[in-house]
Formats: sequence, C-alpha cells, structure tokens
Amino acid sequence: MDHQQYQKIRVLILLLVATIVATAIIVNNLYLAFAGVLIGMLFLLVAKQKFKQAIVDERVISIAGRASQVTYVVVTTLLACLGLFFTLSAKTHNSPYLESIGVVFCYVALLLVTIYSLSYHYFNKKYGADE
Amino acid sequence: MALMSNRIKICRAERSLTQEDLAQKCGVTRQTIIAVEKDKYIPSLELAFKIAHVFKQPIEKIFTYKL
Repeated sequence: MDHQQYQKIRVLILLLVATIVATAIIVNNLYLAFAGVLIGMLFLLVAKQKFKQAIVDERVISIAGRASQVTYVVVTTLLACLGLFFTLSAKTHNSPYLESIGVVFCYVALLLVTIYSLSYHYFNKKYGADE
Repeated sequence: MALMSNRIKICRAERSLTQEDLAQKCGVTRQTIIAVEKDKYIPSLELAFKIAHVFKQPIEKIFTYKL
C-alpha cells in the first residue's frame, strides 16, 4: 500500500464514520454513534498497520516541536496578559467577576508553565542530562 | 546562506533511485528527502548515516559543511 492509497482509505473511513454518526444523530441513537466511531478507529488502526512507510519521521517531529514551542509562548503570554488586564480592570471597576476571570487566566498560565517545566525536566533527563 | 550542502541528487541520479525509493530505504517520508536535498532541513546524524549507507559511500562524500 503506497501513501496515496493510504490517504484515500483514510478519507473513505472518515466519510463512513461521519455518515454513521450523522445517521445516529438523526435517529437519536447514541449506541450507533459510539459503534460507528469505534469501527472507524479499528479500520484506521488496521490501515495504519498495513501501511509500511513511515508516516512520522524526524522532520515531522522537529516541526511539531517548534510548532508546540510557538504555541506555548503565544498562549501563555496571552493568558498572562489577559489575566493581568482583567485583574487590574477589576480593581478600577470594582467588579468581582472580572477579578475571578483574571485569576482563572493567571492560574491557567501558571499551569501551562508548570507542565512545560515538568516535561522539559523529564525530557532533559531522558536525553542524558546528568543533573 | 546554507552551511551544509549535499550530493544526494547526484548520487540518486547515478543509481537511478527515485526520492520515494530513497525515502523507503531510509525509513522517512519523501518530503524529508526533498527538504534535505534542497538544504532546507539538516538531517540528524542517524539519517545522514543511513543515506550514506544506501549510497555505499562515506558520510563526508555525501554531506559537506562549509566553515
């Protein structure tokens, strides 16, 4: 199986799953939707096993890493700035709702920084750092 | 300006290998071979050795680094 065939089969499976899920929604049957998604996942797994060529290689991983880094920087900065803006706005407008939103944004930004630090530490150790 | 250059295209032509063939032999996608050939992506040491192994040449004959 070559790459083009694999792509065609993937599209066919996705169309099949979409049809089953749409039908399940129309007839209001939750089990049918779950069964459709499960069958689709199974077919995709089988197709992936039949497809011998590398789908993910070092270049794709490198691109994904850079894209993740950009996403992390953009999202964390945006959340931190929004959190600061809402918290300071709440002080001037005397609004507890704005302050709550600001605090939530700040905590989400902190959570992202924590996850990044932990994963960085983990991969740093995995790839040979002695510290 | 790219510091790394390679002779992959020439070596492929000498052996009548397509990009797809080389990609399959190295276990990467054709897009990666295209990117390496055009000096847009610097391969890992492992991939560079695999490419050199396919062409049965030392790595420095395929890849050159300009200081």
